[in-house]
Amino acid sequence: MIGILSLHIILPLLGILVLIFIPNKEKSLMKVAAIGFSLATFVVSIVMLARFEIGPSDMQFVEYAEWIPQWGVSYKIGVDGISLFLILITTLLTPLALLSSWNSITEGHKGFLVSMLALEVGIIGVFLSLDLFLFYVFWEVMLIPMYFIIGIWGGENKIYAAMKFVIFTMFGSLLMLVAIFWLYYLSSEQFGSPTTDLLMLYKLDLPYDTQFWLFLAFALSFAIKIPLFPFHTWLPDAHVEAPTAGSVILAGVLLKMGGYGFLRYCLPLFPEATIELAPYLISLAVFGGIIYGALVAMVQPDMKKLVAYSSVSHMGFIVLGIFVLNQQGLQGALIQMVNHGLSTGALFLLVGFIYERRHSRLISEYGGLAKIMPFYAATFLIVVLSSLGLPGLNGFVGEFLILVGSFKSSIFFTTFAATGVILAAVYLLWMYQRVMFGKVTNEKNSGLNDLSLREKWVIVPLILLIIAIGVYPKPILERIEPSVTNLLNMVQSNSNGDKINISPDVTPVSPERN
Amino acid sequence: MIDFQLNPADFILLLPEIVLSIGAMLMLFLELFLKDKKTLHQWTAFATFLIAFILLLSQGSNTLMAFGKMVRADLFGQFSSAIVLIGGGLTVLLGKEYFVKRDWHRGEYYSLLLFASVGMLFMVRGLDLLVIFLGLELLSISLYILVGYFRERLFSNEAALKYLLLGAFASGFLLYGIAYIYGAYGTTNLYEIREIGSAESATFYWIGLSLILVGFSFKVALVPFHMWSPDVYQGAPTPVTGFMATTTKAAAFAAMMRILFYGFPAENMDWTPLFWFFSAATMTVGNIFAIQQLNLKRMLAYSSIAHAGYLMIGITVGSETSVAGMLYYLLGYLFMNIGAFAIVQHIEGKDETRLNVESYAGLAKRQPAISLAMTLFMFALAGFPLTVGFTGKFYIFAAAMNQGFIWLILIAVINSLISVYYYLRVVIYMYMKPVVEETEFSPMELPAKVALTVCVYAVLHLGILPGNFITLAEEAISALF
Repeated sequence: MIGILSLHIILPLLGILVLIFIPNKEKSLMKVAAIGFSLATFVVSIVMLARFEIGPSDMQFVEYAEWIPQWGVSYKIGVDGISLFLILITTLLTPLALLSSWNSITEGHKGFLVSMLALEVGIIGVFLSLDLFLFYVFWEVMLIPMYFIIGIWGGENKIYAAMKFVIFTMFGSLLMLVAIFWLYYLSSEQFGSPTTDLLMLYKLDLPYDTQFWLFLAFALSFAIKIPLFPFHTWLPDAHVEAPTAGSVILAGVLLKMGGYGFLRYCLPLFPEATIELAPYLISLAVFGGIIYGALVAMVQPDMKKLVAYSSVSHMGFIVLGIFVLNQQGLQGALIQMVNHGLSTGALFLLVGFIYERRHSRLISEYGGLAKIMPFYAATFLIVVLSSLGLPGLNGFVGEFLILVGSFKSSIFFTTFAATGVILAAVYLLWMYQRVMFGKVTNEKNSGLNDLSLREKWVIVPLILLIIAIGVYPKPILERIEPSVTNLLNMVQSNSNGDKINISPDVTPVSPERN
Repeated sequence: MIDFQLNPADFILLLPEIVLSIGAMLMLFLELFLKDKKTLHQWTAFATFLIAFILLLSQGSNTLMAFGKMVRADLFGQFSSAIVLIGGGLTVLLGKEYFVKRDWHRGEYYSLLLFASVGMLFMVRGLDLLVIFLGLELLSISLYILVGYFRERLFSNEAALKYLLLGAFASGFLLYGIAYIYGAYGTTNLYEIREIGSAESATFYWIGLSLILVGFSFKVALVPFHMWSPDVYQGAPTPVTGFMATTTKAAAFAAMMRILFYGFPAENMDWTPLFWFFSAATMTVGNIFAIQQLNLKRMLAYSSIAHAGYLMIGITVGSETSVAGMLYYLLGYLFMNIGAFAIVQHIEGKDETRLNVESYAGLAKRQPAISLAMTLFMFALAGFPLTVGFTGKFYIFAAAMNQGFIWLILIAVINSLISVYYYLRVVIYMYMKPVVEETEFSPMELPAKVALTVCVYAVLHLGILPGNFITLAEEAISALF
């Protein structure tokens, strides 16, 4: 019997199979099939959400099958509050991204659609895996379709960007692989037989030195993915060269894999190292991520690059939230991952819409668009405001929680992090102002059409969610909460009861339980 | 000492070798009398490999020694012989198309392949150093000829001469080493050496085994004994290159494992630092030089050096799991590399002008299936999951980690990263560059298609569902330790 979680993996795979047998000429049919299968996956994930129990903190809908018994490797998947909404955002963004690229992909439709569905499989697999081997397989396999999406359907410098993306990611993941070997070895030493079952590995008793190195190896891989300064340089290249749909998935979901990796692997597996190294990661996140990303975003002439660097800045908030190691911070980080997926996904879509019309992303090419494309300007404004954290929209919920969480442990870092919110307002509104307001300075822009029905279908769901989460985030928070509490307990208890204390200048804070 | 009583039942154990030898001689006659029946040649040779394979598998899992402990039929021998026979069979399937295009299709090709395989079977099943040596010589001589198969081509001659000279040196080293081992133990029989345990003269043992190792290092192209391989691989006919890079390497590694782990069990030796160096140097040199190669045959030659480095990790670690991992990797490597060479020979064309990676530009638009298969092989060689390249590496590396070889693994994964660059370059050209030359590709013939399909299937099967084969490799290795 196929479980509901396996369906998330099987449906897109089935879609790939169907696509392969559709003749190349039937372009519309192929697109419809791909969107159909990804929508079906979305429906399945909605069903999963509906059946997800609020309250228990452990894994739900767990499926288990033996895979390579000699190595203790199994096909084990499950979902909890940490992965739940990341899966949902993946299944939501994939059909939207496919729909957005209806016209923009001019050749090799089949390959593109297959790659997008394969990407979905890989990402969902990463979020679902409860086995380290399985996780690594999905983590690496996901690279291949993204590599093709950037490399084949990308812009001028696509090969460079694709290769950089692969090499950077591989560098991190190969070191992570060594760490996996290490854990694998320790498991066979401590349990008698090797296993890669994550829930078993949580029970490993690791000395601090081991934790330190293993943490670094895993963290490097996730830091590259997120990306944290100084491992972020692949991101602007990848984003600028990738087609819109690729950018949406890249920013919307792929980066979250790094944050998710921290939560699922680094924190519970290496709690002592986490507590010890958290201040370093926080300072990287605040100075290298939030502030540096924002400053660089401010001076970008290219809209897509601006959004890409804004991602670096926003992902800094998420890392900050994770490593302050308290309830608010972690919940904020998780909800911010969802929010960032929605807002930045929407931003990339909007930039893509205008790029399709004018084939330029330079801010200086535009001006006064609000008069020509009022609907476009309105949606753009909502998304920009959500991205910069206006109360009432989703971005505020996440950033506020993160800052509250970080304030509890370090006023110093919080002060600097909060400037990131101001800087975000500066670069986003400044861009908005230059693109939308004023007179129509460029003749070429005067004849532009407002959003078509298809484009509205793509963007409106995101806008609705942005508002909904901003007004009433409780449904998300109450599902996240038990798992976050549980995670914090694990960090706390596995670290032999050491007080979590990330900065010397304030009183130590222990996670709250309510 | 050696009991020379001949038991008729012994011959049954040697049936695979006997069948191959008969087949090889039959091919010579076929060539003489039925010159024009090209397809018949191929099918006879293939049938010979198939019969030998079936006979081999039907021998069951008993460990038996024959001919006065000269040959040992065990699961290890069976597993490695199976690799050899599969490799031979695939090379037969790929050969005809290649040689017919060049008007060089002769029975000798198959005959030599069969003889080489007989030699390899003796290498992996021989229990006496001299039998192993004889097997190696039979293999080498057949290969010298196969490398220089295009006798009118300068490149081919150069390759053959280089291979002959260096190969003769290697054989000399090997034989010299065997002589020392005889001096140390009073026998060349591995069974008896194992019984005796420690040598009377430690010096002779060290010298002897070092020389034997030098001999084998030449054969499997370990750094610093690798210099011959890129030139030879480039000059040899492509199917032969594929055969040498995979099957021969597998047989030589298997013989090495037999000698080291069966003949001279671990208590006797601490060669680890030397092996460690071999392994690290081989993969690093192989990968770094491969980056610069735009000629695909040369690139694959260096990549094959690099893979010998990964495989050496198994020997360096020397645990049962790591050696089982090697055996498993050798099987997987066979499919991914022969598959890659099959595509190289398809693309290079009759006049061999399309060997450079530039010729693969835009191939995906013109030959989608071939490009997809090549992509799979490249990702497999680079060690991506869901291919045998990953499971094989996981097997060996995890075993190495269990024995604490963390630095070696770090070197190995950094090497894997380097290799991603040049393997993916091929993919980049196929998928991301525009077509530059509109040359016609003749369609692939059925036997080559079959071989390619087998490779694709095996790479995926061993990568996704490795379970049964892991068990087989583990059982095979237990015959050694």
